[in-house]
Amino acid sequence: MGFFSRYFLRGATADPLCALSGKTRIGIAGCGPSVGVTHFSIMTACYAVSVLRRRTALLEWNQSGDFARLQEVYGKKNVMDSTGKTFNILDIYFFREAGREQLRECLERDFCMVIIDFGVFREDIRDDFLQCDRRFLVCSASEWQLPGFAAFLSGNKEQGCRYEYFSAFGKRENTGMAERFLKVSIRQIPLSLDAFVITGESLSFFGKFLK
Amino acid sequence: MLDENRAIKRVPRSEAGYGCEAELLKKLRHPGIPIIYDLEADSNYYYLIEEYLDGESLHALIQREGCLTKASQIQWGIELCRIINYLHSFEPIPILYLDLQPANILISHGTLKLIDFDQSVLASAAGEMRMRYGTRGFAAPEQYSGESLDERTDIYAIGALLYYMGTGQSVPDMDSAAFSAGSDRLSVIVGRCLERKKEARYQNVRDVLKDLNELGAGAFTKKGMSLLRIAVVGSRHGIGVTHMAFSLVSYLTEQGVNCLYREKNETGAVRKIAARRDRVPDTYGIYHIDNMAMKPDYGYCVRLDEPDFDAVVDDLGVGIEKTADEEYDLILLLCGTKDWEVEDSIASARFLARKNVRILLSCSSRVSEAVFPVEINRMRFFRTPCMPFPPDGSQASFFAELLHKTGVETYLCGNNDKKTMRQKAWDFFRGIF
Repeated sequence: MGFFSRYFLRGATADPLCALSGKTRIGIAGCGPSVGVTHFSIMTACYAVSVLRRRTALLEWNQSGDFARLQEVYGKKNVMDSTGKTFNILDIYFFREAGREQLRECLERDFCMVIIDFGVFREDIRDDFLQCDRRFLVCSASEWQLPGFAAFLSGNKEQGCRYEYFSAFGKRENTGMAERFLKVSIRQIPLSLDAFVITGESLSFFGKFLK
Repeated sequence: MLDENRAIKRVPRSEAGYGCEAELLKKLRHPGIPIIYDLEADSNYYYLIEEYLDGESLHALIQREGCLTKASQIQWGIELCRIINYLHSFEPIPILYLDLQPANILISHGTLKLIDFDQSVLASAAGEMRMRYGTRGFAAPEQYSGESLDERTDIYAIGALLYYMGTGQSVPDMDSAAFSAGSDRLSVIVGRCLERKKEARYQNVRDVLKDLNELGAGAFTKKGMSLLRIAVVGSRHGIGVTHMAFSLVSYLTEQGVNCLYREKNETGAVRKIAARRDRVPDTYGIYHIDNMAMKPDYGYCVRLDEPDFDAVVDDLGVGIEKTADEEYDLILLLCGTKDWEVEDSIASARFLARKNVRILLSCSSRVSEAVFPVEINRMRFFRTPCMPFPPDGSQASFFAELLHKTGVETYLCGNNDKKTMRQKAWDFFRGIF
């Protein structure tokens, strides 16, 4: 048993809600670059921790390096494994440069919710993404990014119905048009200047689909 | 396949002018109005594709929970006025709604929504309407006559809805002065909205909104009284702290105090109740259940606006040390007197000995305060009655006695001991308004 495992066994308390509702694995991926996947992943983790009060892990399953920069800024404590790739901000356990091994560890430990930031959707994550209990696809309804979203959907018709779609950018009218022509339902992510803050608006937004 | 629902409304093409109005409705953007996505048409019908909203109508809410507290009336009244103000000041031409009634008000995820714009018209076209529709008990007198319609027609209906929220009944056919006869400020606002003559009503909805906002800003604040803070804490787990806190909030709310339950423990009780009742919080993160306002224990990331309340009841669970976090006007300590409970009870009572504390012995305790050491025995003890959940108001006399001579009662009543608590509370509010 490594240091990582010991930390969790000794330092963490079991989440009683977890026993009732089971563990939830949420995969979040983007239909293209710069659509706000990491921002939305952090928002979702904040909601899980602060509103649902679930013990939550957030895994960076992409090569963006965003979590490393986040750790530089905020990660003052909380090295939980010998590699120093795990840190804690506001009760969210961040795992940078994560993969199947870290996911397996998280599922074995007492995390009630595991959120995976897959970055841009790509072939090599397809199977892992599909194995998640909930699969959130973030797109953008900005005019210059809609063609990319349409192309993504046409290339993923078979699995399309297994995803839940979100849009952070673009006009509501554009989202409506995209829903109509692409025949998918898209939830509009509320404007969030700080991903680590849940406002009244984001509270009612998440409350509609995450319980 | 779409995972999300949309509402589709079919309107016969014979309803001349509907297409133009629907095009106009598409331009409305307000959180209290469902989004119109598109308007389609075939040879016979228009099809309005709009946002699907789940929730229940005001009518269903009143049927289920009975008439609303004054605080809820003011809250929903303010939200309604904001929507109507948006319509009345819409550019380039204001819109009149003309059919405000409980079935057209939807409470969706803690937010008031106005639905069904069938009868709405452009203000400029209101004078040309030959056929007039409305809902009896909510329609203004001029909707029954040939008199012109304007913004004040909607203001009458706002008054009728506020009256309905407070009584559960539509407006009876009587002189509007009768509504103002109630001496509280809300009755005066309602009475002025319900004036039969348009000239005597509020002349625009902004003024109604202003008065409601002032009224909602906190009755005690107006009188210079600070927020009343009460803590409920237990000497050990499972002793009924949450139950007691809910019952107290229910009692205070019943007495007309705008009161908030704050969960300051990790039991997740509010979330569990909300889940069982399928409720969602409002934008302040507050659940409204059984006429009580409840705020769950949120984590660090949640930053919400704080609405005005006159009193808060903090459920501290067994976190007796948390009583030092805030200046509480009163602390209620629940203690057990069974052999295995006494030790914790004595330790907790000693910890709080110098504070404004009342010790509550659980209703199942057979022995009395005699089990406590002498120095604790000087404190005030109460035996809690058996209380149902949801609270039904049957413990009013217990709470009246509990709060007697605590300082808290000054928030509820004057010094006239001969009157009942409810009468005193009523007098108190009458004085404020």
